Amino acid sequence: MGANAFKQSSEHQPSYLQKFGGLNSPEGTHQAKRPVRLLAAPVSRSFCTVPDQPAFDSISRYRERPWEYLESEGGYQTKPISAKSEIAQCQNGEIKELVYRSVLNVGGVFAEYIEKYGSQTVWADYRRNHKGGIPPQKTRKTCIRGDKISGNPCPVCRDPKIQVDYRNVKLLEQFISTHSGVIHDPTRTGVCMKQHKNLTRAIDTARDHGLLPFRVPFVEFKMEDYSNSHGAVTKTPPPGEAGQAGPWYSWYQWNQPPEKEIAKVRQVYHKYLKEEEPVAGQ
Amino acid sequence: MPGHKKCPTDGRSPQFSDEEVQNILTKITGLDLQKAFRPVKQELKPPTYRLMTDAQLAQATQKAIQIAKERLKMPPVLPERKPIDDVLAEDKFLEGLETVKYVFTDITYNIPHRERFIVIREPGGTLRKATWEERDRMVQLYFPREGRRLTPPPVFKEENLMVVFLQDRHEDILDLCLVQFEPDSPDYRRVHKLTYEDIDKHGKYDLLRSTRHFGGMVWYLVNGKKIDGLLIDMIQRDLIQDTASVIHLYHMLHPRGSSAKEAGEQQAQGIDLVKIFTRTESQKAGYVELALQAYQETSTERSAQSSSP
Repeated sequence: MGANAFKQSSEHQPSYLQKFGGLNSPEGTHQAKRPVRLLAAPVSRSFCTVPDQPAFDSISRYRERPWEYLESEGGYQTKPISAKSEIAQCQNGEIKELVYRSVLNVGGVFAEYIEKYGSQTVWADYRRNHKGGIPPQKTRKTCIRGDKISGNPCPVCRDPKIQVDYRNVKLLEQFISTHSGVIHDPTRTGVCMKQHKNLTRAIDTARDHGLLPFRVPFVEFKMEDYSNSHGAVTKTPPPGEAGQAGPWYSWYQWNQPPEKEIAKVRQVYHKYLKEEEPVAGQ
Repeated sequence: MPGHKKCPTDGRSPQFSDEEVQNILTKITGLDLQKAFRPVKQELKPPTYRLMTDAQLAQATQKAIQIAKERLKMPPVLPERKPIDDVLAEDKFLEGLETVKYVFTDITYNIPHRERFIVIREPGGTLRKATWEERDRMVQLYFPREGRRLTPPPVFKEENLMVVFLQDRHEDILDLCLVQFEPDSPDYRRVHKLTYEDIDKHGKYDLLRSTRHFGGMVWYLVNGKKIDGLLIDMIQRDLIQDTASVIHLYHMLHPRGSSAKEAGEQQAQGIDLVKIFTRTESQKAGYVELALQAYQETSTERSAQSSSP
């Protein structure tokens, strides 16, 4: 199988090439024992020739600056590829093989965002496959399990260049209703539940960082006493200071409660009150 | 009532909560019902229609005005709170027993939060009162307020605030700030200051007009002597009464300035106040005069047009 560790240097070669001494390695040219036989045409395999290299670079570049993909147009035109090849993208993001899946019916042409989606949302042309007229109320749990990608992947999983990140606001806005500001249901957009969770988290983070506008609920402001004169928030003199009359804090001694409070308590328990006598102290 | 609160011989400069100041600020803020009840993004539901007579409509408008006035009540402008720095006890024998700080909060229900005792026992053994930030956090933990988060959201950092200002969402950010922070906390004051500075820099005064933050902004600008942009904006919108009120407020706050003295001598009213101010203490005198000239030309044209047919 192809290379496992993908290096970004210009000299890397997949292992099947290295077996044959490689194209440019010193041993190959020096020994020149066997002719270099490639297993497949260089264009259909990933990183052996230079034109394909930017294809890989772009995905990692989009991971750092995810919003650039949504403004990209044009792109590199490569020759059509075999229909069996797939994007295999591990869940930890390591890309194994970089050949575009023909399921998008773009004929293997390696197109960038505007050519692919135009001015539509990424989920506009996606249709779920399900039995009957009413779709299941939850979309599939995830499209990518380990190495395998399921049939008819959701709009976010089918395009590896779409990075769900709180910084690419243009992508996130596509998943929010323009009229009500509510995040679209996954049954409407077709994304898998895992990506929907990622999107929700990214939208919340973007709103927290002020990148996405949202409606701020009106909270009535209640005036409090802002004099900050109570002992809890000011400096306390140490106890037993010379010249201090009375207790350290005023509530350390008996304070007669206000008449209103007494009246309230009396009113609540009026059935149980005994004959009233003048009460001295507690 | 004679303006005894603003009398310069009082020795005390006018405060934000003074009646006269509040009257001026409410008058300047205005009451735009269309803006107060503008449609917002929310869950859509089918509209309701009501058939009303004229009297009922007038009643409903009155009710709406009452509600709008409630919503336009200005939050207070307070001086920054002094940090709490009070050690209650130093018990060295407790040193090394614990590895963490313990926070003791009084959670009695019926006391105001500012009278709550919140003390912290450090691992070194000192028992001290909690600082304001710790107090706010603890109070929010035990008595959560609607809309307030335990840690302030990252919107309030400088770089994110810039992004928000570019989106013209000053009113939103001020509402969020009001919910999140206490009015005398340094964060509140910093966010408000940045917002007001940005508005002044770009002349976006209309964003806050007819909201509850307009009064605070005018107070900040008048205290900082930066009212030129505001005056230009008002003259361009033909709000000459408001300009006069702003300058009146300015004279109240800076009674020893040249403009206040001249106005006092001449007992000027209305547009003459503006002219005196532009002559004496204005920083962007040229622009203000230009705006005044334009206003006067348009007003003469209008009066000529209305008188001619």
